[in-house]
Amino acid sequence: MKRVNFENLRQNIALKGGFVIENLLKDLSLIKGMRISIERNFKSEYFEKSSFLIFLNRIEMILQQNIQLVKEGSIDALNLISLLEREVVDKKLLEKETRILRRVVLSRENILNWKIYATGILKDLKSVYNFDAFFFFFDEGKKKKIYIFYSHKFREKERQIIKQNIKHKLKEILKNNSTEIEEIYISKTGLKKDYKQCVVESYQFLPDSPEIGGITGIVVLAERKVHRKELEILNSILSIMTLIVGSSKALSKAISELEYYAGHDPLTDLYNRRTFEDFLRYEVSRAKRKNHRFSLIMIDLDNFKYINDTYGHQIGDTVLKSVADILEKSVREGDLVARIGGDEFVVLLSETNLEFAVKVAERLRKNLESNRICTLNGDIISVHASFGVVEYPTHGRDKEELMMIVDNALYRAKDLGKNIVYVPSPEEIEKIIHKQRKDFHILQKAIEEELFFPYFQPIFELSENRITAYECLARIRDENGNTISAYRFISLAEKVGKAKDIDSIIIKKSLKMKEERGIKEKLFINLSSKVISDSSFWDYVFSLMKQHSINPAEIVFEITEREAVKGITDVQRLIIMLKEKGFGFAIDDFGSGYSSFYYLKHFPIDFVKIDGEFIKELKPEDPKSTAFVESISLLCKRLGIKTIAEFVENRETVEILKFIGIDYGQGFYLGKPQPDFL
Amino acid sequence: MDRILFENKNHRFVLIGFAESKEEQGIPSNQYLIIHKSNGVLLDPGGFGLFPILLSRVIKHISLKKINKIILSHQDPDICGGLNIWMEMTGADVHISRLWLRFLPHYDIKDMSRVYGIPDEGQDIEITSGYSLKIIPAHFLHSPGQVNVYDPVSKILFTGDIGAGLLPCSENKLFVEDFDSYVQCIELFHKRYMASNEALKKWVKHIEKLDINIIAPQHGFLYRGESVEKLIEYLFNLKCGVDLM
Repeated sequence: MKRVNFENLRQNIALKGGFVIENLLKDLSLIKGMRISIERNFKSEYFEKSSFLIFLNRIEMILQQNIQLVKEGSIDALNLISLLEREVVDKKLLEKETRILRRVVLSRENILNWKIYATGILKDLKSVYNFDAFFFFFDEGKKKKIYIFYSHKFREKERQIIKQNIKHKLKEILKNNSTEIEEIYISKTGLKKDYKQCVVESYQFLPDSPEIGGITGIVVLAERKVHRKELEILNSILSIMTLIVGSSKALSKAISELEYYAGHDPLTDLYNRRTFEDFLRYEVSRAKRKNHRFSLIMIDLDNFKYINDTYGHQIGDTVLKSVADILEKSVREGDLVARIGGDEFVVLLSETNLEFAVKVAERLRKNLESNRICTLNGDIISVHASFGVVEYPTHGRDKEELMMIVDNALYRAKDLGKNIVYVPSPEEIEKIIHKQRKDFHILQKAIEEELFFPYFQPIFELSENRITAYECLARIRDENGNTISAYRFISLAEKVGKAKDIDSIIIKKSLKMKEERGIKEKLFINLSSKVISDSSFWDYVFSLMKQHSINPAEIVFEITEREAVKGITDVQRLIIMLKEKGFGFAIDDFGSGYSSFYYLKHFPIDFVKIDGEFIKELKPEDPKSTAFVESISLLCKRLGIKTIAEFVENRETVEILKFIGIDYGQGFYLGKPQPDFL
Repeated sequence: MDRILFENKNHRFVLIGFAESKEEQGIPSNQYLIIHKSNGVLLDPGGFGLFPILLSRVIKHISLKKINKIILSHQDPDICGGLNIWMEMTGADVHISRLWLRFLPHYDIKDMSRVYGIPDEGQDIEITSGYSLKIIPAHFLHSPGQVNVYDPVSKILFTGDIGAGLLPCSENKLFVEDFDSYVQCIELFHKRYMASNEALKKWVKHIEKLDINIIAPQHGFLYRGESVEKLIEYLFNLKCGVDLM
């Protein structure tokens, strides 16, 4: 549409109409003059004076009528143009608003910085309508807050008036409760206003999520009466802002929650291991800088496995939650409590010496011990724990050392009869540190230089006596070129949070070799507990699978029974995810004292690897020694799970296993781990 | 350019023309419209050349039928030239110093019965019940029978030729920003047109009792804040007209 200049249009009509009227008026004044001269000087014998006058009257009347017609016509046209102009202004406004709406793209950045985002949009909207303030009231359950965005840097007086009016508007909801107010300025320029009233228009929104409700409002310090048209504009702006902020705020909450759970344990709401390690690293650097001490308490429940086995894991979860509550309540504000494993917790006491930390640990121990949990069928459970306590810098000078020593202290506490607090002695520390430091050094070097590499131990199908799979085992080549088992480094790596690196290196190398050798047999790969819920690790694994074009059906992941029991929910999630992609899944060390038949039934497991201890003890003449293996075999057959026997060290054992009906075997007798496939 | 100089719930004082007459080859002049509870008053609406522009602006604020009064500060053609058409279009009554009543028919006024004379000492003209404009005498500044119009609501004083400046028009500026440098734009005109310092002193006595926010002349920039005081003081001391003969 061509842009019409309404002002010029009106001027044109006024000019033409005015010109005609002006001329008609001049004619009228001529007629008036004629009439006067006729009245004064008419002396004709031939004409009646009155006929002239009749003629003049007639002309005068026509002129008058014409003036009236042109006048009315012009005024009507002018009014019509003004009306059109208002309509077009509305249309322009609509176009402006539409343009602003088009700019409304809810990116993640916008959502997380919704205030900055809202400020930008409000700046745009100011060009549509010059409002004085905008407010957002959010009611997020416990938290009520008003954000006020001022269009200018108003004086205190105006700000007070705006705040009062907003509170008055919200009085139904606020009900005299004090509400936090945050004030934001859209522009830095000041403004003095001469106003007569304060108009507040507001709109309430309640998205589907019950936790986020709110009210948006627009405030105008009006110098005169606000017209209906303006109110319509105000309301259209309001609906835009409601849409934008309502949705971005709701999304921002959702994202905050996601981020919260990335750093928290969803079961207990405590920090998770990842966050705890970040805090610990930070605390070490802070303590180094400021030259102060802090302490660490590690806690491991003594009878959790028993509770889980006896009452089921739902009660187990209840116990973990109540332990978390007790720990949180028993420490000071600012102390950090985290759940770092199935039934393992840590407490980080910043700027606290050992003496005080031991007192805290004792208090925690007593509080746990005296806590009673009631199950649904009326049983009373009590839970107790062992505690290791260490201090920075006495027991360790960095995150890894501290974790190592405190972990050791905890296991000393277990050895000494459980339910006690243990502080490592200087000699002990010296010994551990010395040994572990050496190990730690080797570990770090091995990870950095990728000195880990896989050995492959064949797994035989007993009935056919042929290799159907290989288990990948980690080895390290030390500086002398000797190959050593990586076992002791793996437990160290788990303590210091490096297990993922080892797993990644082994998987990388195994898959590469599998592809290069064109091996079609299955590969069994061990997972450390730390990678179970680490999505970045799994992304890496899946990318390797693609890279080497390996069919997931040829890969079986193993996890030990001990780890599986500790984090049943996480393991279940992992298994389901892996199954969907077509991978196999095995439980390792089955029967090693943690057996929970529960997950055999509920998890889609493909293989059970029976703990080697049972296999070693198998004697044909001793029915007791075979009972356990027989019952596992029977159970797994019913559930459609294949069985694998470990530690097969002689021919006799193979015969017994065949007789029982175990599907597969692996051990020194059948084939030692080799650096390559057979 | 048009601009609302004052506005509240039932009152508006609007500048509807500011130095518009460049096209006219005439003197750039300012025109004003006062609206009180939908009763309109035009001050010095100007010659016919300005009629289209002003009409197109007036109509944005008020319908023509609601303009009940036109007040003229004196008899000059830059003020009365378009009177006939304004009277025809609005149906308004006209007020002008009684000294000039007899001259108006020369502007081809159709209906002199709608033109009223203002007495020498000035008067209050009631616009609607409870609201009147004060007509203040300003004789010989520059014409005998010259009047000012004071609006008690907006506290704006319309002074006609008093304080008038001849200037190159500026789009963004409306008010005198620095009186001392603006003096040169008003000095020559006042010395030549204003009758005498005595006349100026008499006028100052009339207006110094008023509470004035803005002085709005018929030509040039408007005065507010300290330039109001400075203008009054300047005029109080100005030797002009017969003083300089």
